[in-house]
Amino acid sequence: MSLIEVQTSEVVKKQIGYKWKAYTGVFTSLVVIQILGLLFSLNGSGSMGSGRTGYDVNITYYTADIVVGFTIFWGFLTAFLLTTKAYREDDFAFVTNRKTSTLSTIAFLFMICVIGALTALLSSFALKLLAYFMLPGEEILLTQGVGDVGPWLIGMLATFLIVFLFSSLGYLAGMIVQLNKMLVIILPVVVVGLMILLYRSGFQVQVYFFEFFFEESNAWLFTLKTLAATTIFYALAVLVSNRLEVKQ
Amino acid sequence: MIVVAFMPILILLAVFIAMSLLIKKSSRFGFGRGKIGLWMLMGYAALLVVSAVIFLAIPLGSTELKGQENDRDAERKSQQFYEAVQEGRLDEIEEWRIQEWSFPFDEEQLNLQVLENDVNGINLFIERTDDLTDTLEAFYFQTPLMINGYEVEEKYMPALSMDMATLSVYPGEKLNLKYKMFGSEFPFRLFDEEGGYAWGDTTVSHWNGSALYIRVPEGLDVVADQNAYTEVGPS
Repeated sequence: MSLIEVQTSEVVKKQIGYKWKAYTGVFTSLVVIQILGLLFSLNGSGSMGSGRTGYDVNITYYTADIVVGFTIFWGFLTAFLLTTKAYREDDFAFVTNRKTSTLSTIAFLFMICVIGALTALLSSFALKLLAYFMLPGEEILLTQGVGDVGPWLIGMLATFLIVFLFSSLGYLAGMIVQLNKMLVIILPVVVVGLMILLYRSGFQVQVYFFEFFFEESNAWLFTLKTLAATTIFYALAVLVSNRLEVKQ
Repeated sequence: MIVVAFMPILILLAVFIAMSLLIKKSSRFGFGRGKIGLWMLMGYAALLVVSAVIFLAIPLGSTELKGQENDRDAERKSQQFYEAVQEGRLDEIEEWRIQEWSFPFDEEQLNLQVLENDVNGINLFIERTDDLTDTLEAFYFQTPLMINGYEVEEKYMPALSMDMATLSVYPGEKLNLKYKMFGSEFPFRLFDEEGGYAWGDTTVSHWNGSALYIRVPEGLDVVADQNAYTEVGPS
């Protein structure tokens, strides 16, 4: 027993610092996945053709939607992989318990999600610049809603909240899988199976999920919904983690 | 073909495996570990910031779109256009005049030859007037082509040629217009009910008016295919 009283916040802070320095693989994967997303986006996110008397109009549409999508996927996968035993046991190099370990991981995920969202949105400028200078053609450039500061900040917040939401889902899924390795197969089968069963009875979970979050046009309500869902998923992950075996 | 169809799944799978290897701690791939990962991130972030500054600072000669055109407004405008044409009120559609022609003509009969009218949809209107005696006048009007409020500058127009007593109307060269449209990402569009739009919402104006309006001397016999033109009765 130690005579020095250890404060939870101090331990969490130290563990965040440690994770920041040790888990740099997540940054490499972020850069790689966003560059990959940028390369895919160079082909255009979509295009449309329209004919009218004497005109044949073809519009190629560029956005960093693919990069944002990849970043959301990255958030999910990173959180999932941070729950693996190799990562969790790193924390035992410090004075720790499950609470501080989970808190520091969530805080670390929060930080990297901010970075992921910020770089994903900044990459849209790189994409547009590349498309403008490098892609062939005499096309005329049309823009809409690019460069306005107000909407950009709200968009940034929304992107972060979405990435963080999916990271919480990944963290929860990862914790569940840690209970038993077989769950890595059983969990997706159960989830997809349930979705199919519910679909057959006329209830499309994925549609309701996306409508609930992504068709919310009120920024405050969107923030509330995503934060509430994220908190619930992380709380569930903590509950699940309490059932994991104790470090010997 | 099969490979192409499965390409997105293969790419996603490749991304999944690559990411797992990069992040997974027990993986043998040490690439990007240690300080390299942080340096990579910093270099990448610096590159993104520089591109953002360049994009926002340098005038790229782009056109900022106003928003989706109101289809009803365009429909109403198109109706007004055709009403004005059919009643010969040319002064009301003067702003949309693209081209005009004038041909000396002193024959008794005019043969009107319209080539590929069904394909190119040139709407022909003929007005008989006392104002002209030995001349034919033709005007081509067209309401502008709009893309989300952006007015396309290039104008399509048919070609006309007069040979003896035959006026031939040829379709003009089709204009192939290509645009790069740079929009905002989907998280931006979530709360933007007015101006927010996805690429699928991009509208090229469907409601448009185009008319080749020919003025001929009163009493001239015009010979043409049935339904080739509409006789205009000025109000």
